[in-house]
Amino acid sequence: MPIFFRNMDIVVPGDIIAKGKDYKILEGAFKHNDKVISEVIGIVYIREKTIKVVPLEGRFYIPKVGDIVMGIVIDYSSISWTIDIKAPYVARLDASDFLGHPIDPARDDITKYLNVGDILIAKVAVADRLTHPQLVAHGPGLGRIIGGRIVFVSPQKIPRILGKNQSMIKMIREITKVDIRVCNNGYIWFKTDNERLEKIVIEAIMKIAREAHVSRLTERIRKYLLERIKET
Amino acid sequence: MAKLVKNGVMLLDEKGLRNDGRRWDELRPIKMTTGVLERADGSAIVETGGTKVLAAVYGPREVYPKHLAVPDKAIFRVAYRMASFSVEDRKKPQPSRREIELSKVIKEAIEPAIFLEQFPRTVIDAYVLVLQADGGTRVASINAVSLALADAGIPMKGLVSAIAVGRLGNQVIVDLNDVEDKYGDSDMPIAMIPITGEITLFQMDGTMNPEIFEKCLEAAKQAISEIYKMQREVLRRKYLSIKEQVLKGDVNDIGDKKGDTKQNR
Repeated sequence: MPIFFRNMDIVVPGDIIAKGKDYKILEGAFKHNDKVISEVIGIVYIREKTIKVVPLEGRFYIPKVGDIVMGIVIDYSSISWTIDIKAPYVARLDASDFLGHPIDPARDDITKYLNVGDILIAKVAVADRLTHPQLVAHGPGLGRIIGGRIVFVSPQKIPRILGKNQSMIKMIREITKVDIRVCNNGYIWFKTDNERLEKIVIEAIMKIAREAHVSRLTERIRKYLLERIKET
Repeated sequence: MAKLVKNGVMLLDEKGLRNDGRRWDELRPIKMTTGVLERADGSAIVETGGTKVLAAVYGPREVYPKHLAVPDKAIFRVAYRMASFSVEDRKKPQPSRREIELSKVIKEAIEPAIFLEQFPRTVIDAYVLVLQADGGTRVASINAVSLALADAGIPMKGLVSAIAVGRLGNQVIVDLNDVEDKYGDSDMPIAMIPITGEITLFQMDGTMNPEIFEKCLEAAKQAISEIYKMQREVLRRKYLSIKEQVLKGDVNDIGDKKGDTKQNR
């Protein structure tokens, strides 16, 4: 049962990662006869008998239940909004899932609360292969956002920006003292009055996205942030 | 070896060399670059000798018109076009019969490699523009679209690689140029998913006896494995070069999408 790649090597579609029937694939690979083959460009993680390929490319986002997403209101009905979450599917947000109480469409105007063009952070409540995703935007950290900056990176790089147990994002928050919110569909929102700091945060995020496949990332980003802040 | 001249064009000389000086199994210089377009989700340029092809991939995204959407998988569309300046006489910009046909051929050559069932009710669009045509545009397009799809992060069984082989008299030739395509006796474009051994495109123009056919197929497989190696290398190269830079400590620019180039000579 040979393995042809080392842990954290880069693989491309069609690369044979291992041979043998007893491997368990977590994501990013498939079995063909007794071979485990990568299906995307990514980093391969091999731990005992489990194989996972974390993709490095792709700007698309496929909604999953529990994901935090940022969206823009593109349409509304009397009781719900249609939200563009940068996925191949538009999402639906019911008024009660945003306000926390039901709305009487005969007496209340839904656009009072959210109108076309408003941006909000929400959680994916329902997502399956058949229906449009359903969102919830009622709760801590969720809801409409006003002001600040939005940066877009490939949604595949979001796990690296969060880091293991959110270690990376916690470290950035600690050092820069900026309120940053990371959404699984690739959007990162933050707000600060300091223009220099704004630039440093954007550069750090882009650096993580670019170097996501190189190990010891957190240490490098910490060093980078400390150096840049010291300069100012 | 006998000379082969047709319509006043020297196709094979006494040494058995072809009109551009190549041996029978020699490929033209191939250059591949990925991530060439900033706006596209994935893109690639493939140059094979005088043939230059640009491919861009978008998606998976929402299907318009909506009635085309399939409930349990994505649809894959290919639009193959030749630029007006790609050939010697100006090509009319209107999509021709040939372009529509080649779009279908390329689509069917690549579709078996994509895991379309992972993205129900969506579409993956691939656009191919031939910038310069010098024989073998369909195989160069297949190589380019396959790279662009991988660059867009779309899950695939494996890369698709393609090559045209053919016959000049009794001589098998690999990677036909425009002259050989026009005056040669037969040509046979083939596309394969090298990792599974599936043949996804197989066409033939002209005639061949079984013996020459066998030789052609063998030569095509050999060439495809060479092209596959290059495709693989160009995709890996992008990340390996960032890694090298980081480890060397000289990272100045902060670009997310930066492609890399691979040349076979």
